Amino acid sequence: MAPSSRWALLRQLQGGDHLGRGAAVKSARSKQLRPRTADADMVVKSVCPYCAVGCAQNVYVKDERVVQIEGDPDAPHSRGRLCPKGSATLQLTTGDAREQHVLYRRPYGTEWERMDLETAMDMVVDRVVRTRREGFEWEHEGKRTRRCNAIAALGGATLDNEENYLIKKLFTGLGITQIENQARVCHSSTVVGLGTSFGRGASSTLPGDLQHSDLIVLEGSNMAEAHPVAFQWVMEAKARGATVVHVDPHYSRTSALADLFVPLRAGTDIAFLGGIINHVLQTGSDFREYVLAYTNAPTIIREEFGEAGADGLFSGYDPEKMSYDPTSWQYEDAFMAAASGQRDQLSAMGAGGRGAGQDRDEARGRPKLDPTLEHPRCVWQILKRHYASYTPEMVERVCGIPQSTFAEVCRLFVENSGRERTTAFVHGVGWTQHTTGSQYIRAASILQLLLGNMGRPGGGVMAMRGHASIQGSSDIPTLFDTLPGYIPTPHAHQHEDLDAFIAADAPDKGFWGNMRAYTVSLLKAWWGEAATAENDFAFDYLPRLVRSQSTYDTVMEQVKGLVKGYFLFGQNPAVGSANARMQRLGMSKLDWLVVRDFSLIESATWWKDGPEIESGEWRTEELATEVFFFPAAAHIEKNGTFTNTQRMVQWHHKAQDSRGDQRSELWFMYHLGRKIRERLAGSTDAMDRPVLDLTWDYPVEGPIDEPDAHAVLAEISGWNADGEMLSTYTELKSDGSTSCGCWVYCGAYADGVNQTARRTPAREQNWLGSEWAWAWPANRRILYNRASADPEGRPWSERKALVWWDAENGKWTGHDVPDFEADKPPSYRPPEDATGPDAIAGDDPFIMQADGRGWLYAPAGVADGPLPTHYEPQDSPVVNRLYEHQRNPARQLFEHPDNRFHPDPQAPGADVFPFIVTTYRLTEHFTAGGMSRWTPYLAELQPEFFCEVSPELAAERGLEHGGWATMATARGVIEARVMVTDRMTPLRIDGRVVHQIGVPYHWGANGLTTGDSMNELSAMALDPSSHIQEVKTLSVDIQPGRRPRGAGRQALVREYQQRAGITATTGTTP
Amino acid sequence: MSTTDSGPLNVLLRGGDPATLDGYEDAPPRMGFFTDTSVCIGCKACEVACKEWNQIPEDGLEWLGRSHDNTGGLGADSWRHVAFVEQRVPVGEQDTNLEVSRDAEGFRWLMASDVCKHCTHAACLDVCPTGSIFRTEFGTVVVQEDICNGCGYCVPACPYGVLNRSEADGAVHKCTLCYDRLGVGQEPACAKACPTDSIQFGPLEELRERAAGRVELLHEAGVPEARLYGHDPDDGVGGDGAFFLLLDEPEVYGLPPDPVVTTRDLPAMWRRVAVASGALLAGAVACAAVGRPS
Amino acid sequence: MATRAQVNALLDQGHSYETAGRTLGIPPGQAFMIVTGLPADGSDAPAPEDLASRRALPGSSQHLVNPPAMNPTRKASVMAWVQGRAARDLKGGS
Repeated sequence: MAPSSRWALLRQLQGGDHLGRGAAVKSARSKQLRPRTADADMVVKSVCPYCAVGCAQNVYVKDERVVQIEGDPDAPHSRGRLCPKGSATLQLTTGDAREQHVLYRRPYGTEWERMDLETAMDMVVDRVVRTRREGFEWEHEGKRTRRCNAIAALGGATLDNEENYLIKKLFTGLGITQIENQARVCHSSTVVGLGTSFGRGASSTLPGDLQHSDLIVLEGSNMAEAHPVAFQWVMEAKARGATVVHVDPHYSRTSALADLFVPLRAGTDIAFLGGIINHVLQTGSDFREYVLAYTNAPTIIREEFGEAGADGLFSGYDPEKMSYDPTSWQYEDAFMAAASGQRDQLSAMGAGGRGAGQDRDEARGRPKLDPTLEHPRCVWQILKRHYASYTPEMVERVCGIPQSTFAEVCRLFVENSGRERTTAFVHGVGWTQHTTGSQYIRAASILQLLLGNMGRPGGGVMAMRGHASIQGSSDIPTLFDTLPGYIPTPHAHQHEDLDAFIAADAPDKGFWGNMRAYTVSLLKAWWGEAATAENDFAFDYLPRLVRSQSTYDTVMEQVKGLVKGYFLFGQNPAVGSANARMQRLGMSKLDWLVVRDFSLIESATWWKDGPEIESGEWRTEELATEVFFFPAAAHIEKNGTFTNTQRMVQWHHKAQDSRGDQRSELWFMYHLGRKIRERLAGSTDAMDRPVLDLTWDYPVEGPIDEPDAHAVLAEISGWNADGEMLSTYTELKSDGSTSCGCWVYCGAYADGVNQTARRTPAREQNWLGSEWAWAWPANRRILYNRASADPEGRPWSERKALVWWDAENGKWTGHDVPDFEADKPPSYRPPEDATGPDAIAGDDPFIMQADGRGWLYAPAGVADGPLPTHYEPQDSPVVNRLYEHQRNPARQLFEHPDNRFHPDPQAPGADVFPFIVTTYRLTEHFTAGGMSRWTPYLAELQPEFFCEVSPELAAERGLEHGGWATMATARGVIEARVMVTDRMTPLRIDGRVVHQIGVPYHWGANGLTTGDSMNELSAMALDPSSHIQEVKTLSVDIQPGRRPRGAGRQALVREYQQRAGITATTGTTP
Repeated sequence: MSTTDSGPLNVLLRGGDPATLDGYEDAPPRMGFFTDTSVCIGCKACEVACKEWNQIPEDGLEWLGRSHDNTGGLGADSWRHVAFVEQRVPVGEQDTNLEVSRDAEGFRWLMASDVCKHCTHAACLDVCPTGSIFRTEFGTVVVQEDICNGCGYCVPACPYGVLNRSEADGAVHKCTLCYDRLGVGQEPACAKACPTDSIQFGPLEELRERAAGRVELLHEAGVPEARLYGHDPDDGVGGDGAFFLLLDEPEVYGLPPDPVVTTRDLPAMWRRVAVASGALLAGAVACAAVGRPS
Repeated sequence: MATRAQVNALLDQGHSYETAGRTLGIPPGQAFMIVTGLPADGSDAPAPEDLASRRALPGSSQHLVNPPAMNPTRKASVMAWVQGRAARDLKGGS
């Protein structure tokens, strides 16, 4: 019998533990030890608030407070694992760093003041109403716009879908079009690139499917650091014998686990991918049957199309406007509207009052195909000619990749594609954040189409997005250029009614052919009974666009003093957006600024202690901007959904109440809207009708009147006239009898069940995890999966079977929900005059595309060309060896003394900035640092801002490991600690050695770990389709030592500008 | 006394289950960690998960510049520590293309999560005078914080340098292999969080088998440098409850190549003391007998 | 505490992990871990065949270590609200 005496000595003598080392010395406390998880009152199902992997979290609650947060082991996608950030969620949400009180800075004030929440809200309401009234615009150049340009909003990819929905709904009702979020600066290029190529701008697959890949190419991605838990699937693939290749300017923790690391010069991926495309075309290594049946390779392009010759220009270029008229790029005898990207291209160019193709009586035509692929103007031949100059020699010269290595990569691609094997691309912002970012994605898309990898298990393009719900904030967009579900925001045209809008912007074949149903259902969701057939369903209430109003366009308007009010919802542009100085300059011209966040981020405190205060350029007492800081609730204090990078919408439940003045954005937006409507009630001004007629009656709960997020999700998901929740978007009608806030989310609340809250354990289903939460569209996990079967509906191989035609039962079946009409047989051929989904044949896998095919060549949607073309980055020390045009001729630039560009590589002064900076992420921190620099467990893991340089560069510039370095561009100077490492390697480019410097971008002046912000160096130079900034490659100088303080800092910038001979026109030639 | 090579106790103890030998009737299987550093991505989820679970304070915002290691080592406030080693040698058949303009055979970046070894022959346990450090029913070695008086005897005793005293409360703290979680059948926090399953938790016997298989696989895959560390019950500490797969010599990772339980020689030392004392006593008696005045 | 043999004996008699644990005076999750070698909330991924041979549960096992889980998927008040919206917004005719 076990001894039970309280006295250890007695236990020792009486029991089996005579040495007193084990049982005998176990204290009472040790005997009663229990983990706080087991003793909690309940465990609440939730989702990690950090990145877009969306790891499932178990949140343990005791006495109504959260006591532990760890992974949920039943989740198919994360399996209970969490990265260091996810593991720090408890400290992030329950630690001391969160503000609890509203803070107010009066105009010219030097300190924060406390203010009660109600007063602050009322003041914001006053300002919104007043500023809107003063800044309302009914028309622009004779065309109705009905908008308010004086107010803008930024954020947020960290918010719930329901919150983004209310932001977009209310602000649109107020006429505000300048609504943006992190999705703009992150993966907007993906939306353009994948959307125009395949029909939807989201990742085609899920990380969990990578386990089936035979080859995984990680490029423009640091997956092991940015998405550690998703990286487990790459490791699974490795364990099964897959080859893993990492292509990157910087050797990271991802590279350490790759079989092959390919260092390349930042900004040259199009040349690299073009080289592989060329290899595939020249050697006939494409998956021919797939290419012929599923891509537009055989399609003939109209005669007017001019290919990019030695100058690198396609037909239709206007050097004055630095933009293209894409009309000549179209198919012969057919007009194709794009499924994504620039869809009002023709109108945007001011092509009369009606864009070409608006007239439905004009035949949109049918594409002409040459199945022999020999017609000189078929896409296949155009593709071959375009990439003929992307030879292995050119790749070596431009990218710095030895030909032997390049040959190895090509071999791997070819050997791992085809019927029996598949290859996947995994990419991140290393690809998107360029002035040619959309084309990077297009290039990868072309390659995957040629090799037949789209829609197949282990294939696809896995776009790894960054924030917890950035996919959601793109789908239910706090973005200026789309309405929910990627319906384009209408542009200002004369007499444009709903029909005209649909005719101009919607492909008339494929599922975009039902755009009217999606749009009307949205209008009914927003304007309810005020939207009737008689008034065109209140289509007129939508404000119109005239030109781009991306976040960077807005910053320029702020700098000009034209934007008076600004909302920041969990976004920190003073650190996270390009050209930090311009961000602060813009904010300094505002009348009022509202910041909602956990802690006092740099975008909230620039007036007090920002770089311009430190340098003495500005004085706090002279800055007029009124600033409101509202502390935000954390995800454990809210009900709502996040949409992760694989389009999976997961509900997270509220686990505890927030403290003090902390509120959710749902609460803030709902009550802001309620108060504004109360203020405007009874108004007879037509300006106020859209906001007063909004449906804005969500149920509220509890002592603080929190809106019920379930109701908002239900509105997003949609219902019919009988109040039944809809199951899928094919149930949407154009006659106003259905309501749906976002057609791609239709079905998220099907059958009155919150599908996003489903939690069927991984072990009870296959690897796709279709019964865990809900994915759009219609819970399909791998998009375009029709392409996993041949035109007759049989899998290309048993090994790669995914969905197939079950002739006996007359339907598609398989491991995934078919991304196809379930009962449409492979043999179906559409009648001549078919429109909409009926025009999609039984062997057209790309059902959103106007011709049902994957686009090797994009006749529409991409502003700078139908084919990806290599241009050098805006700031580059290297001459473009492929074309005469050094840079993207259609890129978007902004002229301002604080946004200067670097000289052309052969101009005098080019050698002032001889090195290349490439930015990247560390696994320990998160984006602009708002959720990691204040969190002790993360801050201590990477406590200082540093840069990484090769030993060779260190020797050349006298940099010491552990010492300091100053980096300078025409925009700013920053300092960082120096890490000398072999992981940064010099490259041989065009016969000379080029050095690259790796710079993580997480730091700013506030928090526990502080440092200079990398974005002091970057410029605002944008991709013309996505409006994304180029921060992944810039040229720079680096010198040992710390930077100047005070006035010396800007003096040094000016000195660099002078030495390089920089003027307002430097680097701006087309 | 200690479990040493030469003592009679050790004959019994070698191959014996530590928990049973330390007085637990009906002990469950011995549990431990196998850390496969060949799949570690250096993310430090283990460090954070451990701190969150055990509510350990942040212990220093100091940039060490030791590759990506800013933790430095194990200690009272760091119970998991990820080491990073950059070397100019290749690993297996990995092709890194980093030797473009330098004399190097290749490059590799070793990453490894270190932890208390929960030794079979645990010197810290041997020397603890208060009975604070004890062997649990799972075979793990745990510091009972309600008993530890901060004497620090255990600190120099550990052959791995795992232990030190906390500046905050003066007591010794270290990995408990999440003793509280094991009690209800929950996985230790670090193992649960680890994104690539580098840290594996389970019955030690099973882990040792699995590890042997993994080494064989790696050898066949062209990674001859792979080897196990701390797996061998015949080593100087009787084998570790937390053992590793390494891709280079232990010293490269900051681990002792041939750790021995520091109390190993104590019985032999005491025997010599006994012999010397006996001789001294005999001599004193002899002197007393001889030196008697006549 | 208990040995593997002791828990297995009870499972052979038809006990669940919950009742076996109660009989032996240990938490059910510990009983599970002792027999299977797996923690009840583990993040490892044993193969399905392996799970069965270890006497693991076919689906989830985390309930053996957790307090009650909170994850409702329906809300009647919201459906009622939807009914009201549909009647007002859509039934009045399009």
